[in-house]
Amino acid sequence: MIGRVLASTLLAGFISTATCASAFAQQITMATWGGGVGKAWREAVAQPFTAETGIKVNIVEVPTPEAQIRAQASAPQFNAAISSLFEAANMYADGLLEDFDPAEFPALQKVPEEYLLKNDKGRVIGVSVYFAYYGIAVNTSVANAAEFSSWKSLADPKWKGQLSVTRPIYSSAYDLTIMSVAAGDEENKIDRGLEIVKGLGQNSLAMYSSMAQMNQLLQRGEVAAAPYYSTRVWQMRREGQDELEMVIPQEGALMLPYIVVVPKGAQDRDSYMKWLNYAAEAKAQVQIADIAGYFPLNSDAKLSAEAEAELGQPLPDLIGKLYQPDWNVVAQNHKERLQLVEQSMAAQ
Amino acid sequence: MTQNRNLLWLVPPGFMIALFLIGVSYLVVESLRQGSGFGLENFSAFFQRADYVRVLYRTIWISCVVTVCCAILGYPLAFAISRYRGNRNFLMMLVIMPWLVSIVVRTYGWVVILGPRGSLNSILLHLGLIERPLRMIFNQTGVVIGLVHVFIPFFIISVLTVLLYRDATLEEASQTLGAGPVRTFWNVTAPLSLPGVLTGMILVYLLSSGAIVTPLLLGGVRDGMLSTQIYQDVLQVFDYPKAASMAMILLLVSFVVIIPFQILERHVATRVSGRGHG
Repeated sequence: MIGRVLASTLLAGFISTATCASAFAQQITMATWGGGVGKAWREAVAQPFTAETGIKVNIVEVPTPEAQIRAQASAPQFNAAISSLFEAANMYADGLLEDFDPAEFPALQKVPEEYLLKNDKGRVIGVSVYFAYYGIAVNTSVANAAEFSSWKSLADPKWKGQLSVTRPIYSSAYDLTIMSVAAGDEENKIDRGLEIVKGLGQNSLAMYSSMAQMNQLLQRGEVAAAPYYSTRVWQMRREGQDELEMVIPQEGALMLPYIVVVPKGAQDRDSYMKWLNYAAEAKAQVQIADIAGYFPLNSDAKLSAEAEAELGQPLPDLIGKLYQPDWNVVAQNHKERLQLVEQSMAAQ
Repeated sequence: MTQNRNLLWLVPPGFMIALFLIGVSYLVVESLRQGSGFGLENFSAFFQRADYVRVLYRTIWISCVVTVCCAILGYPLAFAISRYRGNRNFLMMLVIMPWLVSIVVRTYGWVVILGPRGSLNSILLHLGLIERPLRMIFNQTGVVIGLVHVFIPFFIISVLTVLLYRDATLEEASQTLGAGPVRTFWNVTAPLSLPGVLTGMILVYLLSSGAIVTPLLLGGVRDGMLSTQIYQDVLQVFDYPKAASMAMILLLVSFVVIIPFQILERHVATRVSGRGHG
C-alpha cells in the first residue's frame, strides 16, 4: 500500500515536473526596442502566434537588444531578438548568433536577396522582417523641407546650431554610409562622405542620445532638422505633429532592414523556429506596418489602404528611392569608421 | 566574547572593501587586456587620441567648475538653514526634494526652461531684451547648470551637518570678547565648517566627474565627458578593455585631484578640534 502511494506520488511529481518543463520550454522570450516596437510585436505577431500555436510569447522592451545578447553570451535568456543588419553582422562575427539553412524558412523566398543577411556559406543569420528608412526629419515650422533636398545641405553653415546628430556609433554606420553615397561614393569609400558628416557635426546643436530626446528636440522646434528614422516621424505625425516631415533627399534615403536573430545556444529550437517562420510571413508584417510604420520585406505583403495613404506613395516607389548598402562591409570596418566619426565630430 | 562581537562589526565594512577591491582588480585586469595577451596598449591608444585627451581635460575642468559653483551657492544656503529658527526640517526637505524626481525628468526640465525655444528665451524675446535666443544649454554652460542642480544637495547636507553640530559656545565666546557677527563668522564659524565644505567639495567633484545623464542630455556635440565616452564604449561599442582603461584613467585622475583635498581636510580637522599645534 505504502509502495503504491509512493509510486503514485512519484508519478504525479514526474508528470507535474514534465508539464512545467514543457510549459517552460514552449515559450518565446524576445528582446525588442521600446518606443512602439514592443507594442507592435505584441499586437501584430505575438497574440495571433500564441492563438495559433499555443506557444506563449514574452516581448521584453530593452534599450539595446544587442547589449542584452552580448551580456548574456554564455547563458542566453532570450531566444529571439530584433536587430538592425549591421548590428547583427557584428554580433555574428563575434560568434553570438545562430545561423540557419534558408530552406528552413520558406517565406524568405519572398524576400529579395539583398535584404537577407548571409554568411559566406550562404546560411541566413536570422529572418529579415521589415524595414524603415533613414532620411532627413524636418520641422516645417522652423525650416522649409525643400531646403533639405540633398544630404549635402546638412553641411551648409547656414544651419549652424539648428541641426542634431545621432551618437557616433550610429552615425558611423548610417550617416557616413548615406553621405558617402551622396558624395558620389559607396559604403566602402568614405573620405568625401566624412567631410559631410563633419559639417553636420559642426552645424549640430546637440547629439541626441535617445529617441525620446530627438523627438523632443524636433517637436519643440529646438532643431530644424536631423537625419532620423522614418518610423519615429511616422509615429509623431500619427500623434498629430503634422509640421514634421520626412524628406528623402535626391541621392536617396538609407534603407534599414531589420532582422529577427537567435542568440547562440538559445533554448527551445522548436518554438523559435516556428516563431521565426511566423514573423517571416506577409500577414504579420502588414499588421506591424499598420501599428508601427515599419514596412514589410515579404513581397507578398500588401499594405492596407490606410498605411499606403500615410506613406503617400506606393511601397515599390518608396523602395526605389532607398539605398541598400552591403552591411557586412559596414560591420567589418565599423571600429575604424567609429574612430573617424568621433574625431570629426570632436573637431572644432 | 566582547572582542568577537566587536570583530563582527567589521564584517559589513570588510565586505564593502572587498567588493571595491574585487571591482577595481577586475577593472585593472580588463584595462590591460589586448587581444589574447596583456599590455599598456589601451592606455597609450587613449593618450594618442587628441580628442580623448581633450575630453579628459574637459571632464576635470567641468567637475572643478561645478564643485566651485556648488560651494558658492550651497554654503549660504546651508548657513541660512542652520540659523533658521522655524521648521528647519521643512527646509531640509526642500533641499532633498529634487531627489524624489528622476534625474532624466529633471534634466529634460532644463531643456523646457533654457532651450532655444524654452520659457526663459521666450520671455526675454517677448520683452525685447534679446534679438535671438541665447544658447544656455547644449554647451558647457548647460552641463554645469544641470550638474550643479543635481549635486548641490550633497554639498548643502555635508556643510549643514557640520554647522548644526558645531559648538555654539565658541561663537558666543567670540561675541562676548567683542567680535561682531562678520568677524565671528570669519574667525570661528567658517573655520569650524571647513571640514564639511571640503567633504562636500570632494563629493561633488567625484560625482560630477562620473556623471553621464546630464552631459548626455544638456551637452553639445563637443561637450562630452569621459564618463559619457565610457558609457558609449560599454553599452554601444562593447569594447570593454578600452572602457576599463578610460575608467582607470578617470580613477587615477580623481585620486590626484582629491588627495590634496583630503590632506587639507585632515589638517583642518586637526586644527579645528584643537589637537594641532598651530
